[in-house]
Amino acid sequence: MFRVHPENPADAVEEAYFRIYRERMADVPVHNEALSVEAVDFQKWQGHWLGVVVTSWCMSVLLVPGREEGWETPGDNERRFVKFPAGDFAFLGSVEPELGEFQSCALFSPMGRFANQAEAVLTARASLIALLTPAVQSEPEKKPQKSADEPSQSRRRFLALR
Amino acid sequence: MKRPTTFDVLQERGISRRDFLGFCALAATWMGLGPQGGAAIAHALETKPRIPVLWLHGLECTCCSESFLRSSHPQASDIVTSLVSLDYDDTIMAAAGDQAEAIVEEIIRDYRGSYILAVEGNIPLANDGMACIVGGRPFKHQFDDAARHAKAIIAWGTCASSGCVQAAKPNPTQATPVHKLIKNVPVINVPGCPPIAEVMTGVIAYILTYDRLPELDNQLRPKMFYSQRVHDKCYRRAHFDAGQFVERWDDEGARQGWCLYKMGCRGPTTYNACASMGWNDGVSFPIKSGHGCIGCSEEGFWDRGPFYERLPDMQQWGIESNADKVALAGAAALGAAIAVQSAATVVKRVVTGKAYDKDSDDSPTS
Repeated sequence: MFRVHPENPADAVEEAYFRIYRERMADVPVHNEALSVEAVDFQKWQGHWLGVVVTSWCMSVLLVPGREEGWETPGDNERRFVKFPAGDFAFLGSVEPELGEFQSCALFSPMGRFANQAEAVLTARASLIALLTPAVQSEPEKKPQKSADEPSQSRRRFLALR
Repeated sequence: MKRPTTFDVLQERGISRRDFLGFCALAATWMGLGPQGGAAIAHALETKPRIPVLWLHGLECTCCSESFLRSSHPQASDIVTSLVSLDYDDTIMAAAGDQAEAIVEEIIRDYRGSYILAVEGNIPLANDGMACIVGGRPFKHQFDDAARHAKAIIAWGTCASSGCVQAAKPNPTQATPVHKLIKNVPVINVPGCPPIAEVMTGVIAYILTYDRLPELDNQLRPKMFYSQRVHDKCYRRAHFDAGQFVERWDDEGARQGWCLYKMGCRGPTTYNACASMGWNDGVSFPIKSGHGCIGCSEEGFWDRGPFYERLPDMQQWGIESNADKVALAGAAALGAAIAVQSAATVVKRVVTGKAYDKDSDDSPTS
């Protein structure tokens, strides 16, 4: 079921997830009814299509084949790690008739915390930007805090659980 | 009598330095400590004095001991039992009868305030604790004596952490978890029925290395092992997102390895490391073996309805590790790009801030 998408697959993604919403997810009580299916910011990335799908039950980063070369198919129920500037993220393989083969990396589920579609889409957009940005800030942000208060308080913390 | 050093004990047990360092590197991986972690653990374990440990058993089934003693690394439990001085554990010690019970009193007397108390099982309070008698007196009394002077208490398993099956309704023996009876001594809960061996070993190695408890969440569980839901790391997660569910045992979906949510899987509400660490040397975990998660590490899991009925309420918020990672990585970039400033705020609020239902009132350690 491998298919190359020369054009942006955003419509096909929405079609596939609308169908999943109507059919397979219909009787599953996890939906946030304020949300609907939307493909966000699908763009070419290393020859393939990268974007986020927002639905009423989950939000995932999707990777859809844009060409044959460089596309790796993970085995059945196997993870495949994809290198992004922000780090290595685990993708799982999927197949839907509208899309053929594609891969997904779960961000949120269920979606109860999102007040409306705009908030969810904004989060999707920001997540994608973050994914494509090197993870420089995380280390220095955490480190000074730790080294500053841990050694001096460690024994006290241990004894007093504070 | 001089207490032997760790080095002595390791040699005595025929554990090579290579095995020891291998274990330290492994333990560092379990704890997510990075490349320097192994060296830090090795250094600490070799130079620090051995900590006396009392391992008491209340109302329990010994599955925690079983899990611990079968740690996946061939000698993990060997090494850990060498590093700590496991002075009293009625499952594995040679002494018996009065001699054995005398050890408890000696430890309390000689190491007041400096020993670790590990408790497997919980404490029945009804009828002055008559439902669990150890050495001729209620376990409650032994526990009270040992807990009062401990440096810290490790509550092994769901029994000790939240009660498990003994505390299921109507809880006739009034089985009570450890932390509810303790006021002035730090308690760490390591739930699971049993907990994963590597988690148990990791907790002990962390305490020995850093001389304090790891960071805990508001249920006193170590965050390094219990901050993510089984659902978040499940290899069948893509099937949930795609709405592909097992509808009946042994249907086509079951054969294809689809999501077990409709068969009662508790993965979406269970915080544990099963999906990432696996069991039996990482060979498998319940979902990988075709059975849903029963949520054994969650409070009151026996009273949450039949195991094979779909979760009544799945709206509990979880933070996917991926979203967490993205938020961390993106904080700087998003802050810089003014156009997406508001997006950054939303992400921050959604991913960190109030989003952590479980941790919203912050951990007891910070």
